[in-house]
Parts: sequence; structure tokens; C-alpha cells
Amino acid sequence: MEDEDLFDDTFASELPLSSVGGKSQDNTTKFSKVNLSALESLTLPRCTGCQRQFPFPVNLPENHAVISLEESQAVDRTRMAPPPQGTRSGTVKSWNGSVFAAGVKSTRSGQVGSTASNKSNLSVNNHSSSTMTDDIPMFPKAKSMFLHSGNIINWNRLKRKPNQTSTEEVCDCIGNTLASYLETQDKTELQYVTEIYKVNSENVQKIDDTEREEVKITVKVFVCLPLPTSVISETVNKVLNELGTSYIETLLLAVSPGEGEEDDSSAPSVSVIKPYWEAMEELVAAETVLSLGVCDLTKDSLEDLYNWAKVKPSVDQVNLESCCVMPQDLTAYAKAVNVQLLTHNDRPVFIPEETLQETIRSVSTEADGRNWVPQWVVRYSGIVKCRGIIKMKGYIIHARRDHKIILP
Amino acid sequence: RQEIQAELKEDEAPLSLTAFPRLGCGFFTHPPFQPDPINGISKSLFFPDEAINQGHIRFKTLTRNIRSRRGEKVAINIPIFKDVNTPSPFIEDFSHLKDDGSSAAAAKPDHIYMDCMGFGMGNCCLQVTFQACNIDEAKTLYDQLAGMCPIMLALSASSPIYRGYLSDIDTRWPVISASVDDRTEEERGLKPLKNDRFRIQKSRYDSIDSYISPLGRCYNDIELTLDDDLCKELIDGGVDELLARHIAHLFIRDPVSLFKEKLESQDDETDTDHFENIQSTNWQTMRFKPPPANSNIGWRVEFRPMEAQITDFENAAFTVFIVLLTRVILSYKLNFIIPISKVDENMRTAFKRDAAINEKFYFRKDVLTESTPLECAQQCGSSGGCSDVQGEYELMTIKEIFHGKGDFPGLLALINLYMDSMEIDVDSRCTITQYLMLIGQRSSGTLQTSAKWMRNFVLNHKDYKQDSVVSEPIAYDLLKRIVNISNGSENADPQHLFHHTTKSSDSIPEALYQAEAFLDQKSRKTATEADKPHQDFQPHPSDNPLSNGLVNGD
Repeated sequence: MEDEDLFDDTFASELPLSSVGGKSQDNTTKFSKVNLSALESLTLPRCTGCQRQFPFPVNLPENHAVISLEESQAVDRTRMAPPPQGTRSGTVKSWNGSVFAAGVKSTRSGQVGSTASNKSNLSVNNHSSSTMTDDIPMFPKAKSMFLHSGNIINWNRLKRKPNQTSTEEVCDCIGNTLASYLETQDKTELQYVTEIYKVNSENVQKIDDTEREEVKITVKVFVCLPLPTSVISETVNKVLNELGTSYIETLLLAVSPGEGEEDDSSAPSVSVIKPYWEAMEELVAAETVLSLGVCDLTKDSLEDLYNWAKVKPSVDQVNLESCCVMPQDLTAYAKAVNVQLLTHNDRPVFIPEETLQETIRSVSTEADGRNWVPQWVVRYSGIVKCRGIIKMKGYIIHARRDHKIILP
Repeated sequence: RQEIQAELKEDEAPLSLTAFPRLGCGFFTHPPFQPDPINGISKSLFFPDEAINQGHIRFKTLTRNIRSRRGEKVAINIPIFKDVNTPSPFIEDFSHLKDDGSSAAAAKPDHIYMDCMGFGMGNCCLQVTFQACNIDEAKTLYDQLAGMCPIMLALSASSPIYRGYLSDIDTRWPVISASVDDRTEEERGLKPLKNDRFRIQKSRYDSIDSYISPLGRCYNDIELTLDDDLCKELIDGGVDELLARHIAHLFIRDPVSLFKEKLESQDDETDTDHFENIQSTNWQTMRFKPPPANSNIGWRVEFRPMEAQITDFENAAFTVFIVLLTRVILSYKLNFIIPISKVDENMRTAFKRDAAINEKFYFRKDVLTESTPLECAQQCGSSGGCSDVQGEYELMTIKEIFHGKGDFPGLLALINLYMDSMEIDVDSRCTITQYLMLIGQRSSGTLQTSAKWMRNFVLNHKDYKQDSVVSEPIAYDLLKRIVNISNGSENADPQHLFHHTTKSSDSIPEALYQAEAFLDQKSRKTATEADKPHQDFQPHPSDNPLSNGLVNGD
């Protein structure tokens, strides 16, 4: 049994409060499914900063202020009730645990009267000024997130850093969208959220019917790890819904490199692509997608796919660093079968895990950033035909984490 | 280039040169002709009438009319480059050229004196015209590119030599500006107004004087000389104020070339010749071009300041750069507008020697607008007053403008961002990358401007006597070198131009063409059938052009 695992996932979902999975003194039993009345009968102090309850006085981690049971129970009652108006003002700006503490502090002072500092060794401020490592996570239960950036063409912020790679660009979107989500969520409810879903609706730009014919929409799906082929229709449908259209012109598939038997670790394997390709062909049959494309294939892989496919790839999108030194066999083959060789500027691993986690961490807490793994990313772009003007560009990102939440 | 060369003799070559270095020096034409200062059309001491383009009567007419309207020969005075052996003061003796004294009086000391339209209009430059999708986009492009005019002029500088002398300027602009200056003494402010209507600040060839899009309204800080009656007529006719003022300003000029036949017979409902007459004899940095009658060519905007480079690659690079810049401006809704008086100051900076590396230009600090131009326009239009614009711009070097400074990403970064979002085939990307590399290296100073290269060629030539004189042997060697570089038989100097291997061809790749046609056909079909339920989920062979090569149902 892990000493530090005071919060056990399995209990958390049962309780309206932060859970109490404790150990009895003999270290052999755990409480199970503790309910509120059982909670009240226990003499458990509560940290005024992060609101965790601990078996008193054993194993009290550093920097946690201690309050009496009466005050602890008073806090519980307060937290059960909806907060009075006005107590949440001013809590939205910062993203570390001090926000939470500040919110609760004002609630407490409004309800209870005396502050924790009378009884505790450490003040609330001390706790909230501690390092981010100790900040309590904002969305500890969240296992899945979907973030829609909306149309980023007019995001001033992104234009200020145009030297950034597309990886930086998408992470910027993740950070912004997630921050915007966290701003608007109820802090308490956030603790129980299992799936974060945020569409930057104010940025979402639907295409109306009169415009549709003028615009060419291309969607690139980055499949970050082996996923069921339903990811294809799922991602395309999300884009269709967001843009308010019934079809897109081109769907490009990018699979993560190095899976399968390829010698060249940066080139994707055709055997990995084929199942997704079949799903893509279904979309062509349904006329939701008009043409298909693939990314970063060598001549042999492209030929393999081309010969096998029912709907032939019309695009092989390659990294632009090779645009002046394209392999002859690839250019000759592409010309022979009329496959367009277009360029992209994306890394083979579009969003590395650490980068994603760092991004999430930067707008929340250390704990919140842990274990997230990108599942898929979709980039859509709409170009006005014949005029070369970008009308819209956006990202939809899906990430998951399946591990137990580990708290400091 | 190949087509022209095919028509020429072995010892002849077409050059894309901005200024012929020994224009007006002795017998500079073939066959040789003598200037006729007494009876000729231009009365130039240096430029024979036969050198005026004989292909159309317009050029002789313009030459003659400009001179006669002005009341005297045009007087072009360009500061000479003072080298150690250059006479100081530099004053030429024109008496042996049959000068009646007027040229000696008009020529300034320490200046290279030129005296007819041919010295300006005999130069050449790079002009790029864009089609806009509607009048608002045309106005937007006109205003947004206006600020880029001095900057692109400085970057593309390629004409430091005039009438056989090294000058202290690098671009043709002041030369042409003075060469067609038909303003009378009264209009130039040398005498009080009596016969003429207006005091006019600039020659008919010069930078623009006003912005015409709503976003530019608050930045028109030059007093605009205009024909009030015409302006009122336009406004009463439904033209918006800014555009009406722009046109009324163009129309303060007299026509300098007219066809007698057109005077009476023209029907203004179907023919726009009279408008084009004045429009095309206002030679400005930008030109706003309404569609002519009975044409669907649409609203166009012409970007006119750039100098011609010696190779096709360079000219293509500059052209493609400015085209991409327009796409970037329209995609990201950028705003480059600064007070128009500052743009004029930039113009005066731009033609100085080595301006691209030594000088600073006023440039907008924050080109990324928060709101769309339409929203800004509504804000600007609704309130009567304009907010303080002084803090919006600052002095930047060419390098900073292209490569970035602080928060400003730089034009090249913005273009790269745009290109990453477009679907560009590998060959085009390769070519464009090289074009942008040229622009990047010229703007950072890694490569010399063409003007600097030519200047250095002269300065380092064995026959050069450090007296600013570009003699025939020096000029010949320079031109020979340019011929060989431009036809590929010699490599350019690496400080001026790198070795390029572009993939330009006459047409886009076949695959792109077919894909485009296929998508067009499919999207039209899909859009009209969007409401019909899809029964058949099997892919049809005919839906896929790539399996059987059919396109468009052919």
C-alpha cells in the first residue's frame, strides 16, 4: 500500500467531498465508501489551503495548516452549499492553487468568522505561496480532454510568434483553450470533471452556404498512437459540425512514425495506414470527403498504398525541408500516377507527450499536467479558391490519461 | 528574354536594366544621332529626338507638351557622388553643346544635370498589378501597399549611374519625377498664382498623396490640392468622400497628350478613355485602377515603385514577394498604415545611396490588428475625430522590417507562416524558398543591392580615376558583365547574388491541375445534391479520376 496515496480514485467518485481513504492504525485496512455522516464522526483535521483531510496527527505533510474539527466541519457545510454571490470574484486570473485557496478563504471568512490562522501553525497565505508542485490539482479526475481552438487566423497572439513551429502553434492553442475553459468552470465541479470539453465558440467560424463553393477545406488528421479506425469518422464529423458543412475537399492522414516494420523510422508504415484508409474510403463513398491524401510516404510505400487502395491517394504531403532535394524515384512515380506532392512543415511526432504535459502544466498545476498522452489532433484549413487567401484554420485536440491520479 | 534574343543580332542583347549608364553621353545610340537643342522636340542638349520611342506618337507628344506647358526644359538635378578626384564644386560646361544659357542656369553645382523626359522615362522598372475581388479589397490593398513603396524601392535599388557619372542616389525615382514635371513656375510656387489655378506640391510623377480605404482616413495628413467642383460632382454622384478626393486630386493636372478624334466622338457611357488619359499620366507609387467600360477585368491595384534587377530570377523574386505579401495582408488582415506624410519622408530616404543598409524608415509598430478592417473602419468612420496616431509608428531599418524586431515578427516570418498553411507543391515551394532567401539576404545586408554592386564594379574598375566618371570602357565592361550574368554564361558575384536552381516551369504540375478540376466538379455536384439521401455507399470507379485518368467526365 502506498503511504502517500491518501486519495484513492475508487472512493472519490462516491463522495461529494474530497475523499478520505485512510488507513487504520494497524495499516491493514482501508475505509471503503465513507459517507458524509461517517465522515463527521471522525476527528479529521483539514488543511485550510488544499482542503485535504488527514488522519490527525499522523503523516501530516509539510505546509499543511491544521484546524480543529469544528472548523473543519463548518468548512464542509460551506462547501456543500453553493457559494454566496461575490465570493468567487477575483479568483479567475491565476492558475495555481492559490486561486482555490483565495476562493475558499473568502468563503470561510464570510461564513465562519474566525480564520484558520488563529488555530493553525501556518497561515493560508503561506500555503498558497508555496511552489506549484504542492498546489492541489484543478481537475484531478479528468481523464480525457477535447479542445477546439476555433478559427485561429485572427488570433493576434499566434501571429506575434510566426517563427514558431506548427507544434508550438497547436500547443499555444491547447494552452489558450484550456486556460479559457478553466476560467469559466466552477472550481468545485472541476474537481469531479472526468472529461474536459471546450470549444472556443467565440472563435468558431461556420461557413455559410454562399461561401462554401468558394472555399476549399483540407483536414489533416494526426493519429498519435494506434487507435480504432473510428477515429477517422469521429474527427471528420467534428470538423463538419464545427464548420457547419456537409463535406470537405481533402482528408490527409498522418500516422506517427516508427510503428510497424519500416526500416526508416521517420516514415510511416503502410500496414498501419491501410485500416484507416479503408475508413477514409467509406467517407469518400458517402461523399463527406472528396479526395484523400497521405503524408511522408516514400516511393515504395506510396506505390504499395496506391496499388492496393480503392480510392487512390491524390496527395502525398512531404516535409518541406526536402522540397529542393526530392528523391527522383518519388517525383517520377508521383508524376506517373498523378499524385500531388505537396509540402508541410510538421514534425514527425506532432505533439510529443512531454510538450503536451508541459503545456497543460503551464495553465494549471504540476499534477494536472501529468500523464496526458495526445490521441489525435486535427488541423483544418479553409482557403479561398483562386485567390490564395486563408479563410480559416483551426485545431481539435484529443488527449487522454488513464493512470491513477498521483498526488504529491 | 529568349524570344527577344532570337530577333537580335549576335552583338545585341536585351537587358533588364533600370537605367542605361551612359544615356545622354555623346553618341550613345545606334545608329548615332545628334541632339537638336534649337529645333528639336525636347530641345535637350544630350538626348536626340530619334532616341524617343518611335513606336507610338504618344511619347514625342508627351515630351513636347510637357516642355511647352512647363514653359522651359525640364531640369533634373541629381547629386553627384563626390569621390577624391571629383571636381569640387562639380560644374559642367555646356557651351559646346549649343546651350543658350538656360541649361547652365538650370544646372546646379555638384549635381548631374539632365534636361528631358527621355532621361526619366527612358528608364525601366518593375511594376506589379493585382486583381482584387471587389472595390473594397482594391482600396485596402492600395492603402496597405502604399507604405511598402519606399521600402521596396530601397531594397530593389539598381540605378546609381546617370549620364555617365556615379551619382549619390541609388534609384531612378527622383530622375523620372523631375523628367516629366510639367508644373509651371506659378504651380511650383516660384511666382504668385495668376494664370494657373493651383499651387501644386509634387510633379505628376511622384508618390501618392492620400489613402482611400476607410482604415486610412485618419492618416491623410497631407493637404490635398484638388478640384473642388469635381470633388463635389463625384460625391453628389455617389462616390465616397475619400475616393472622390483622390480622383479630384488626380484631375488637377492638364492632359499632356490628346487625340483630336477622341475629343468629340467619345461616349462616356461606353468609353473610359478620358478618365484613363488623366489617370495614366499621373504616375504615382500606387495606382488604383477601376475596370474599364465593357470589361470584366475587375478592380486592380498597381504597385509601381520597384526597380528592375538584372536577372530574371531577381525580378521574379521581388514580384513573388510582393504578391505573397498581399495574400498575407488579406489573410491575416494586417495593417501597415502610417501617416502619409511619413510615407513621403520614407520616399526621400529611400533613394539615398545605400539606403537599404544605412537608413531607417517609418514603419508601423503593430501590424496585427485586433479587429477586422471593417470594424476599424466603422469605428474610424463613425466618430468625427481621429485618435492620436503618433505613437503607432517608429523608425526601423530594412533588416528589422523584414526579419523582425521585438514583438514585430518581420515580413518574412509572416510570409512563411502563410505558406505553411497553404497547399504548395514541392517545386513551387523550392522556388519560392529561394526567392525569399534572396529577399532575406538583400534585406539583411548579406547580399548587396544591385545598385551597390554596380557602384562597386565602377569603383574597382581598373580604368576608374576616382572622379565619378563612368567612361565608355567602364560602362562597356559593366554591361558586358550584366549580359553574361543574365544569360547564364557567367556566375554573378557572390556578394550580390547566389547560385539558384529554381524549378519554375510554364505550367503547374499536371497532378495539381487534375485534382483541382476533379474537386471543382465534385463540390458542385455535392453541393447541389446535399439534400438527397445517399443510397449507394460503394465507391464508383468514375468518382476517382486517378484510377482511369478521366477528369470532368470527359
